[in-house]
Amino acid sequence: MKLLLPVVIGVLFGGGTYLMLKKNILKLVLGLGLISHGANVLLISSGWIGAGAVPILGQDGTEGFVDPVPQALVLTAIVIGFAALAFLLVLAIRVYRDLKTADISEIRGQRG
Amino acid sequence: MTHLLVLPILIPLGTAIVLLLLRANPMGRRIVIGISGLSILVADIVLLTSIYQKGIHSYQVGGWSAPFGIVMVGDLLSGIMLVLASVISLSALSYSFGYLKKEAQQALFHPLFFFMWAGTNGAFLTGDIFNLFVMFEVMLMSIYALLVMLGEKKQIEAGFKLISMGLFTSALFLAAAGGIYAFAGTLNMADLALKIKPHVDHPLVSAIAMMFIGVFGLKAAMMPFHFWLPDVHSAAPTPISAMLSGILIKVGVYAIIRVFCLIFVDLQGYFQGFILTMACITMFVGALGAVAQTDIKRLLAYSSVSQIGYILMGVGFFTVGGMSAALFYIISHGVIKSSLFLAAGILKKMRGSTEMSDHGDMINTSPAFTTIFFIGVISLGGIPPSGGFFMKFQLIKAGLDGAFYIPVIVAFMVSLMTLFYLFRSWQKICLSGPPQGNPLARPSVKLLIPVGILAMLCLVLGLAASPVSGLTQAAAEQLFSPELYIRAVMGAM
Repeated sequence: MKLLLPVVIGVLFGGGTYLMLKKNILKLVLGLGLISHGANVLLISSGWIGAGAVPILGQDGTEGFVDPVPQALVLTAIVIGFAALAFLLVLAIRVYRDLKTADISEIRGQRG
Repeated sequence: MTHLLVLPILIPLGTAIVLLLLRANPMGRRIVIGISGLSILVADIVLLTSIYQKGIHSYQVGGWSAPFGIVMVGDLLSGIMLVLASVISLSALSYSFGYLKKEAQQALFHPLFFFMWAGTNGAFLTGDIFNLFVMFEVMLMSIYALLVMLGEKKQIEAGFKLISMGLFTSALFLAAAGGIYAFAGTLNMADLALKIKPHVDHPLVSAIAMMFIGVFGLKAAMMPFHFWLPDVHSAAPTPISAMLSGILIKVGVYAIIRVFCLIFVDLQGYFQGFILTMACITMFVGALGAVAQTDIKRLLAYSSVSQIGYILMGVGFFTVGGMSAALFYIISHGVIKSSLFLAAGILKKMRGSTEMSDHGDMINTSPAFTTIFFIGVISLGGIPPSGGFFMKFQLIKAGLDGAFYIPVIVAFMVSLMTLFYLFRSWQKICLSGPPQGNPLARPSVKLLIPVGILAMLCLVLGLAASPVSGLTQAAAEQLFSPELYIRAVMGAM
């Protein structure tokens, strides 16, 4: 578990970056989605996971619990990320309809 | 403590919701917008005077004491930014009535505008890193929608760029927040300052500081991250362009100031060289881009990049004088640039284009427009008696006092370029012969009034430079004694 999380975060960030470097507009969107999930997992891992117990009061002792704060934070972050990604997907469709291409290097109406 | 501190967030939030309910009632919407817009301005001014007299305010939301609850903090810096935001927002709002002709557009525009305003004010008032992230998102989400609202082709394109950039920044911000939470176990900025201080040599701390520079630099369009700004600021509907250049890029600068004058105080020396270098390059690249433009809105957008370089230079000195000059620069640039953008919007309304070659002879068509535009040009160019002269003068004086000669030389050179591209655009639009095509209609008075008020403010800033710089001086002194902020949030220790 200790090793698994860093590997997952690394794969998410790496895969996201790889997809973002592609020319297809949909791959850019997917890459951004992967990167924001990588950030979410990173945030979750900042509260100790290990063999921690569920953070519910009423059980004995205050030791050995997972920190509940990052879980609350990540919930907010997931919602925000979801909304932004959905908006981006809608815009990607609009861009595709307007420009009749999914190639990012063709989107250069405003250069200069 | 009073509830005054949450008003600048709650009023726009409530207004936005009421406006959504009043979609079918244009008259009702106008009344609500007028009343709440003015009451936000009043609340901001009352808050600023109260902070000036009684010191830093803090407010524990829901009564949970720091560092466990959510805390709102108002110091002089936030107070100044709030008042600036409300002045520019009010002008942009009154301008939007003349600019957006269709009622359906206004019914969509105004609620989003107030959501954006709430997010901006929240970012200035929050005392918590994660809340800063949330407020940024509230602000950005409204900007996304406002930007693509009219559905023009170039707006869709700019919107796609802005949202991709925004999503990436959010992920980076989250990663930085996660890193700092794993390291210090808190997200409250005052508490972070205390917890980080003994461990400032830890490599993770400087890595996180660098990530924060990246995140806020992207929002502020600092040099390697400036690429999105010209497209977005020039494609946006004009009242939004004015807001973006006037206040929203300053949110990034505000966050850099806040983070480096509170959490990473001891890293100021470590990052000074980097920030100053980037500031100089930003100034130069922005001005170089502006010289090459033929479209007035793109020219102004590139000029914003260049001016952000000046502000970052003042911040990067990390002296009281430099910070005070940077704050004065933020205020006057906000007023000047929004007036210039709104003036460019008038041109767009007249001929449906912002290309400079499509315009001309404004001096005979509309002397009022010519005067207003001229005031903006001399202000941004830094010619006395405008506020722009004092912003550049103070900045350069602060640089010489701190013996930062190279940035000062760059600033001088870029000033000359600024004068060149501004006067060239003024000459093309106002003095050159009448353009081809239909004869020009007069610009509508509805649009001229808000621009005129902002132009008057540019001049007032020049005449009243000494009280304003007294205020920014006090704010800078407060920023360089972070123990005041920490005591206000955490209570006596």
